[in-house]
Amino acid sequence: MLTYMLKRIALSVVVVVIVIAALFVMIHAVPGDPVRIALGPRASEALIAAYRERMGLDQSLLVQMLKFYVAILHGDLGQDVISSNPVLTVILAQLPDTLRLIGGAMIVAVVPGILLGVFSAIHRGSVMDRLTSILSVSVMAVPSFVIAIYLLLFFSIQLGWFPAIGAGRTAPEIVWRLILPSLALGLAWIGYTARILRASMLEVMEENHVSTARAFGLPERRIMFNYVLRIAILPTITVLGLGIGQMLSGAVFAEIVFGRPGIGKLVFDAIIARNYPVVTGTVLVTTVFFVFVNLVADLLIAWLDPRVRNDLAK
Amino acid sequence: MTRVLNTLSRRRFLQSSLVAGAGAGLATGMFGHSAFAATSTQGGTLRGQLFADISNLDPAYWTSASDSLVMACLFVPAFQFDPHSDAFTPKPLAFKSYEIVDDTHVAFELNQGIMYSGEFGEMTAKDVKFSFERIGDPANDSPYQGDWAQLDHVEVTGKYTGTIVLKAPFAPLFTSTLPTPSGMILPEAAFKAVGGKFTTEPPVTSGPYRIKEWTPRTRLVLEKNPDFTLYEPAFDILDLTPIEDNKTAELGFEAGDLDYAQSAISSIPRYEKNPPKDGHFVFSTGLNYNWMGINQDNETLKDQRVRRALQHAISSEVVVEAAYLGAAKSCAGVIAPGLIGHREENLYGYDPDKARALLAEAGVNGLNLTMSIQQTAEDLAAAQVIQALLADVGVTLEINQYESGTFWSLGIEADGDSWKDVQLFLLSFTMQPDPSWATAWFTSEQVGVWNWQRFSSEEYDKLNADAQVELDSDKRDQMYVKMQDLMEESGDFVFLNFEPVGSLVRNGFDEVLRPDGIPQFEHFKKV
Repeated sequence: MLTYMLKRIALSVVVVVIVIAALFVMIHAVPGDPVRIALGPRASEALIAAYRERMGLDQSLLVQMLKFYVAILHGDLGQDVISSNPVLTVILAQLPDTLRLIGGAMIVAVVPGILLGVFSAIHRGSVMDRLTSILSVSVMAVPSFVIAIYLLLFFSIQLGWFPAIGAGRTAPEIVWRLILPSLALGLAWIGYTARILRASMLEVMEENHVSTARAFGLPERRIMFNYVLRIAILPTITVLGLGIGQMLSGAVFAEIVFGRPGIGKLVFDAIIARNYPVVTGTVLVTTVFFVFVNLVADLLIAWLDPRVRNDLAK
Repeated sequence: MTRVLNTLSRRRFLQSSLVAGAGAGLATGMFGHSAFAATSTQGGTLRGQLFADISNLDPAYWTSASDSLVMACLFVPAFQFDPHSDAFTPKPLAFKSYEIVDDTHVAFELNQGIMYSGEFGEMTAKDVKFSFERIGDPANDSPYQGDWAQLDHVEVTGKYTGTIVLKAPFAPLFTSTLPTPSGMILPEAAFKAVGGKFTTEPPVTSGPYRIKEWTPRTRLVLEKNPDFTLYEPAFDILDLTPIEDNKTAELGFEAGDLDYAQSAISSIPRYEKNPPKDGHFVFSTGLNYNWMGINQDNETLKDQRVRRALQHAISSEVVVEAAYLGAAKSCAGVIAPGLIGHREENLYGYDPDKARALLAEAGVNGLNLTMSIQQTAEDLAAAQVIQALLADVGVTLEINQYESGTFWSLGIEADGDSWKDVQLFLLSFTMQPDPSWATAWFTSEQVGVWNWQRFSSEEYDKLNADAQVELDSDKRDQMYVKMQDLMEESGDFVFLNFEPVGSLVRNGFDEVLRPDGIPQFEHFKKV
């Protein structure tokens, strides 16, 4: 298990290095001068050149990239071109709001998703199962930003139940302002989670160990939760781990529509402004976060599934 | 130009305030939810939209309109734009009085008792000298050095008195230097205390408000400065939320989260017909000017007859009507109404027959062109109408949309060769309320930088330089009108419109907006 963990961590580091290299190439391939944006149209050519030199943007792409890797090792993600603040500080100020949003969206996706998935599997073919299936596919087909706009128009503007913008300061305010964005981001995942879990449970329910448990006369509820769900949940964990990535990109829309702070909006604005240090820093942090979540998901699967554990032990 | 629309009668307002007040008390008690509390004006808080988060509050290095809005709350400039005037009327603020001694000397006397925060004491003439010379000094690399380009020095003649000594007359001094961040006065000691520069955490303030709390990209809370005596600000607290997208701000306003917000341009016609519930709508004509540029150095467009044909083929009235759904009017130049140099009439109006004749005369048949635009609804609508109008004279137009970062590098020579392929494009520039800001980008020196038309005229360049030092308003007006004539005569420009600005203001608040719709939060009042 330890060797497996170390291998997965090493692989994660390689993924981060490759992502940053690819990102460097991509953002420099796009036209647009961050220095002109930072200094505004009235800046003289001499001032632009001096600023470019100071930011290291006059150096080759390879040199800039190597310097960035070295800086990362020192915990330095560079300086925000526009505000001159350290990028790490800028990102860390935004990260909690995005993590809360994704956490909220996960709760929205997982709790009803699992309940519906289990219900549909147990009552396969029932009216409720079919209704859940239709609703799941319908909601999955609607982009999260469309859901966001309709939630906002209905619950904030029409009914006035929820605030339309901001993230709040006190704990109750933060939770209150998190409900609509979390729904917008997580709603589509309810159906997805439910469908995957249902299919997985139906497969596991046909396996021999479940028939054996039934033969021993174990209560159906115990069989479902201790023997079926424990195995059937594994693909859902993997999908939700990958879903974090989609939620991070979906957070951009949720943060813009709901006027919330967060790293989704931060990176969006930074790309528009060609604020390269913030773009690379934010992508680095989100990549590390994404890789970490998937590492945890893999380890969780290894812990939950004795077959995986045994394979690793061999 | 500003007009206010409000369908709510006084009686309805009082009724709704009572109901809302009762509801707010109940809801706030239950949820602590500001959307309900929003309808209350108690507590002296104004909740406004900030168009972006603050990024640099140093008068020498500020970067956005939001920075400048906040700086006006934190610092005291020599002049301000009169908050009670419908025009850009400069009015002394830190200066108690001033005297134009001659074309290059302006004597001033500061108001006494303007106190800095902390240990920095009272504002004196030495601070004026430091602040203005700091921006004007080329060694400091300030992007706003041009505002003080003609400054020779500031002579301190007493604790509160001095003279601004210019190298040459400088017409924008009172219109776009002294009433803007370049005219703000800060003490040298404060800069020394922070190593010469600061960004978002000013070491000193002196204005009507000071920073109480700043959560980056989330919220900026300003509280009233009790030591400020030049006028009485109405609100104890300015609670400003950075929202770049006006559509989001509009929804925030409608949900009751904001007392002031700018509406999206596309919503202006709707709000003009139906002002928002519990609020009123204010329409202003902004200083931002939009036009269609034609690259005269592009091989296909080198013949001036072809460019002139394009000018005659396009009806700016029709284009603007379609793009702004009636919210804006077409214009005849780059200098907004109310400013020196505003031009009323175009020289080459819509005349498709003439356009066809000119194309035939130039021997051009089946002309294919491209138009580069940004990804905005207004630009796309305008481009599509232009496409249809050009098709009417036999020109096929392909529309290429770019995201803003890519778009803004298309015509810049230093960013590559794309400027050679650029043919037609839609551009929008912003400016300060002095005509020199509008015309500065079309000089020969700006070719390949911001002059994407690559328009070059010695006469224009000379007029542009002369107008900066011409202090006679009438003569200056004629010079700027002539410069716009030259721009149009070149065949490189089709002037479209000035950007409309819609402001949403909660009833119970008395907005103070500049003529271009920019809020002056420090002057907002409670009704």
